[in-house]
Amino acid sequence: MHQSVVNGGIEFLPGTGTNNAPVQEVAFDLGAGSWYAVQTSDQPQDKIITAVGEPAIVSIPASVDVTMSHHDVEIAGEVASGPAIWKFTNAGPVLHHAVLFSYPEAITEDQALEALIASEGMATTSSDGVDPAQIGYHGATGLLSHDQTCYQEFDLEPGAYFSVCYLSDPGMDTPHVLNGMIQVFTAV
Amino acid sequence: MNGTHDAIATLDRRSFLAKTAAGAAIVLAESGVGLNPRWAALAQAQEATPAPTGSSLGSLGLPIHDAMIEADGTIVIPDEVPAGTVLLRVHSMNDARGEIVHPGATARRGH
Repeated sequence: MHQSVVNGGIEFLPGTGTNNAPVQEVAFDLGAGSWYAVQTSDQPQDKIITAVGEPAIVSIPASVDVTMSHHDVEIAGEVASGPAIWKFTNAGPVLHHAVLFSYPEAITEDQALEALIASEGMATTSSDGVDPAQIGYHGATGLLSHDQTCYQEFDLEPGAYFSVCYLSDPGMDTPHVLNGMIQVFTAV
Repeated sequence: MNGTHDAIATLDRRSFLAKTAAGAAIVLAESGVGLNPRWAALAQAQEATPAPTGSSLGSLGLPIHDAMIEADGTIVIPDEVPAGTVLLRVHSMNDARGEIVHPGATARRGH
């Protein structure tokens, strides 16, 4: 990523997940200077936004803490269901993001990974019987550079979920999820 | 894990989106192309689109800065915001990803 810093963002994708509303909110810390708001659809565009003055960092109470580090993502095994503020921090040296999926029943990380692979069209079922068609998309963060934090709201119903990172290390092709950057958790 | 090679091949298709996003962000950050804001359209969108219910971020008292991704992908966002913690409410007319990119310094929150 050269010298650039990526500080969160918002992803809008069609679907039935709880975080696909046409309006979304995200909070992040912007240092003084020029930033670029970038949308990366088929026809990417950008717009300069300038943060002015002495940065006033506000403490935001978050219900769920997600820390991404080198090929690892840490989320509490149980999180409260319902609307909540989630705090995402990238403590690792390379870009990460978090993509949240659900599954109708308890699932292991290996099962989730196999089901994700199967959902990409490789098979109708994974080898251990997990049905990839039952995977639900529940939103994602934007990309976060090292030491960046962003806050987003998620409204999860009780159930089984998992978070993955699809980015890869610079110069590498292996998505972080295949390096173990997958974490299952339960909303209760 | 079985089928690691296939897994890489398949997951890369989704990863490509992210990698494209990162690449585009850099290219655009380096080119620094600016667009004219369309405040009239933004104001109209704000009237038509109520704030999401159950919004916790919106209840924190932070100033809310509205932004919009129009159907043609145009970004409408304030030219200037106070540095520090920013709450951005994004209205999207387009299935797009949005990123905030800084080509240099950053605000760091103590962890």
